[in-house]
Amino acid sequence: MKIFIILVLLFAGSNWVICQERVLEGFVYDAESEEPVIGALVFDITNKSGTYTNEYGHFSIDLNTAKHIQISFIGYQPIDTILKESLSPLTFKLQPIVLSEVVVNAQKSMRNNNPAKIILPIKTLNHMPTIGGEKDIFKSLSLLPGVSTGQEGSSNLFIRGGTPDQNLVLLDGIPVYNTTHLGGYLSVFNSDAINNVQLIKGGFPARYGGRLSSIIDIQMNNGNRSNFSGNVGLGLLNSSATCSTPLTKHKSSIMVAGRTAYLTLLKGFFDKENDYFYSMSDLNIKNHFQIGKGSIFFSFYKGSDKSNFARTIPNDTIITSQNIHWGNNTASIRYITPLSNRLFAKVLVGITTYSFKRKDKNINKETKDILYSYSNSSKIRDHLLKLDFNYTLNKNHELNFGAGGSLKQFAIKSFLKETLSKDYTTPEYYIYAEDNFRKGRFSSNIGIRWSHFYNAIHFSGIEPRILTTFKLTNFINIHGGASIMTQYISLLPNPNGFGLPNDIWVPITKETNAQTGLQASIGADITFSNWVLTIDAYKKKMTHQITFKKSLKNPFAQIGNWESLIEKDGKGDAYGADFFVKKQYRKFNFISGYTISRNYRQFNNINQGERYFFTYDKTHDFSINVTYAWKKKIMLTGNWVYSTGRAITLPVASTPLQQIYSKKNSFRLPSYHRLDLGIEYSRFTQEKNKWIWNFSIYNAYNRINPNLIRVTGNPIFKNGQYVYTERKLKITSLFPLIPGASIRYEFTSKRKNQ
Amino acid sequence: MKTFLLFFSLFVLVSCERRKETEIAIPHIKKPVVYGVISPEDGAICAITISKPVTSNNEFKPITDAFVVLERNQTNYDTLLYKAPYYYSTKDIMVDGEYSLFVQFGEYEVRSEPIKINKKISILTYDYTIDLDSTVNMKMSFKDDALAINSCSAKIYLIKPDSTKYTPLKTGGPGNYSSGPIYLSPLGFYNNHYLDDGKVHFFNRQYRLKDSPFYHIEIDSIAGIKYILRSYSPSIISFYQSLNENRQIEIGSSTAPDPSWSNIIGGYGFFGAYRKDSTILLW
Repeated sequence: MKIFIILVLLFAGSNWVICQERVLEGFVYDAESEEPVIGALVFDITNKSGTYTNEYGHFSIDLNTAKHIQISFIGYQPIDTILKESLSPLTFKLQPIVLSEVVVNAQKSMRNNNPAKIILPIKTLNHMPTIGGEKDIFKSLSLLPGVSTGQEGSSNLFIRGGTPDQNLVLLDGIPVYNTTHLGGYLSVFNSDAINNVQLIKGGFPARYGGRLSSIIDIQMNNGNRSNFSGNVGLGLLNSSATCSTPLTKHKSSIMVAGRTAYLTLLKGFFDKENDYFYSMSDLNIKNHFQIGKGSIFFSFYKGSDKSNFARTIPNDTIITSQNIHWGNNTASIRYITPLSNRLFAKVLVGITTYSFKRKDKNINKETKDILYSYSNSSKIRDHLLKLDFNYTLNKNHELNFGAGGSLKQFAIKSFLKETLSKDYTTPEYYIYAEDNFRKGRFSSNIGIRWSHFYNAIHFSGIEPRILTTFKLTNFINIHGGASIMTQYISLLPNPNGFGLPNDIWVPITKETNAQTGLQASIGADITFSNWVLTIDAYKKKMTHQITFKKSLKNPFAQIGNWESLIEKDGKGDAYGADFFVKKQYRKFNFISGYTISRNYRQFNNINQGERYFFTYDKTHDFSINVTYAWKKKIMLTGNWVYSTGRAITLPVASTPLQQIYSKKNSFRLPSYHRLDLGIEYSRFTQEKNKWIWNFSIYNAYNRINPNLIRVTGNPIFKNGQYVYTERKLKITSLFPLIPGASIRYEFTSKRKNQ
Repeated sequence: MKTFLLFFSLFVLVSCERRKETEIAIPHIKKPVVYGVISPEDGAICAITISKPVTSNNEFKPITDAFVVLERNQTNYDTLLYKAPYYYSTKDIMVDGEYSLFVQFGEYEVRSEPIKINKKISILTYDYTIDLDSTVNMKMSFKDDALAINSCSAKIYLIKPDSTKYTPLKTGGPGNYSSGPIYLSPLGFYNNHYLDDGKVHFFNRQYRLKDSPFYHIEIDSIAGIKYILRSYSPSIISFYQSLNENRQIEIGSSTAPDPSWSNIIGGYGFFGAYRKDSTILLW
């Protein structure tokens, strides 16, 4: 640690050492809301080199003697300026462009050096049609190549052969352990409260770690520092309200956003025999205070889902009930400040909690005796401290380094006849360093991360990372990279894979070693005439995977003793190629993604030890999204998605004693495809506030995509035994054609005299 | 707002009529089904039929014209003859040697993987007490090796005071699967055994004869029990474990059923062996 502090102080004072070069640092903001613009390109026109703004909109660039720079980002008018002599930090305010031009533009001068990294401004995500007109970040992410939701209706993401627990989902730098509302139907991220989403599927920078498959880094809005603004939305499933206001103009702000569902209002509407109650709500709050050159941010999120179900069978004396409650809470304080023109520092202290409780019971209606009772619960709480630094060494090298630690507490409990429980307190810490190098046609990000975890015994991992880019021509970049990742916690898989969650997070123990992942990738991006084509082929190997033993029907009833229920030391093997195409033509915007892949698992005691297809292996996964801006008021959108049906194990023959099952997951469900259509109409009021009407049709041609599979048959008692006739295998779709509508009012109240 | 309500109403009407369910075809991999067991105590027996599609009814007709040969040490040992509803061997089964089964009928020809006769579990000691509520508490020990701990089952017959006939009693243990003369009794029963110094014990197994839901027999009305213990070859254990495990799993769940176990090459089913030991306890 001493060495780490000395290094920081050394870098902080290094302006005196490297004085022959001129370093410019500053911030890029949205001109209307003064939200930071994340991932904006700051490009030195003279030297043909540049940098991107970080999650706070901050950049630091070594200009030497150059003065001509350009700042650009998707959905904004670029700024092209000749710099005058001025002191850092500089502030640039990008002007948003109007509705018809809100499209995904290719950045012309310097491209993303990682084809597996996608930065999506929330404006882009919001124009994609979704189920019931409900905007959802994760549903939109699932349209990208290499990203799948597994089963329809779920918001769990399976990225490049990984499982949902292998995605590090960060909300303002804090991990979120459960990402779903409404049984997976919506993600917990309220798009009104979100500024930017960054997805990294490969070529991981060393500053990220702890998961094998992806980083989903979500930044909340800081709050409008210029004007009071907000919106109110009314959808078929939920309503939302957001407001944002400066506390001190241009210096501090607060943003509050909330959502709640209406399903409670439908209680008893569909089924008189069943008593069903469901509630969902979430709240995002963020404060931003600018203090000198630095800023302090307070972020808070609270989400909660409750599902209570009770069923009384007519003429029966038994009431069956099931109560499930789950939710996340996160809170953090962050301080950022430029320590010098070259050194930028970030400090984060935070806490995140996810808890889940389920209780099932059967009660005698008359005597109120409990005839059957089963419950399980789990909780994970994580206290975090992170220190991150960014140092611009010269125009060729930009260094990132830092350290952090967390204290994770797990509590897992189940009750069925007897109470079983396990509690763990596990410290984890890490240190990393990475170098972003750019010279001529070559650029690279080389880094290393060391992490350590303790749970009765010590675990540690060294994770080297490398990503290189070579500019072959003005139109073509080629990329190659490799990453090693280590993961010390796991989410026990939900055997149903769909529906209400049963999320149990567990740490590694001396019986289950740390998961490791090695991913190598090679790709290219080609840009010409407003076309952007990205290709990235990857191969990933994962070790020490876990899954439930093969014969368990309801493992959650004894989950307090989870270690005895799992198969250990599994292997995962995934490979494939992602293709991503973007094109803008006049008022059309076109995005398409395609993935061809294979995804396997292997456990010694499953499938007789043979490798088998992972349940959510999809050979082909294709999506296309077209947006057309018509008369500046109307936006027409359409999605079409197609994917190979998921792998399934089916009985292939019937014999007197049993049905004969094939090799595990050797059959496929019918392929999945659907068309979504949407239309958005905007009307401005005299005060330049905006009404937005949104209509959408999900699954427009009513494709029956399988969600549930079952064998049906009529049993007849014959010759002393039951004989089944008319047996059929049926698939049920939970999401046929679904219309959606929402209305939204966005307002901004200009306060000139503050 | 009027436009919004108009579109909303239209969408709701459109969504009222919609199909939600359809059928998918399951391929049928048609193969012969062979269940064969051999025992030095009871001889050899084999049942043969042909598999059916999963979506058909589960009535199976026995194959009566098959050519069935029991092989010992890779040479023909005996040809099994059909005597409804099964094929039987006419020769005694010897304890040593490696056995396999060859079956041919119509276009089908299947052969089992070779098996060996497993060890016999002998009843070493037994003791019992009868409680005031007529519960028989029985403790037995068996001479066995560690491998047999998971490979035995028990069947109990009641002995009436003035009769030589035995009445079978269902023990109520889990997994009480019986298939007629092939007679593979409850494997779940072994959960009540534990190993101690190379012996398998029934750990204070209680037979509540009075409360038996099937026979309602008062303890005073029987003179004792006949206790039959079977120990099985690994092939039978593997087959039944696979069968039991897959019964627990629902199609479509991500914890998918595992492939069904079989040692019949080119077919379904199993070929296995068992040993039998019996004791009569009178009180």
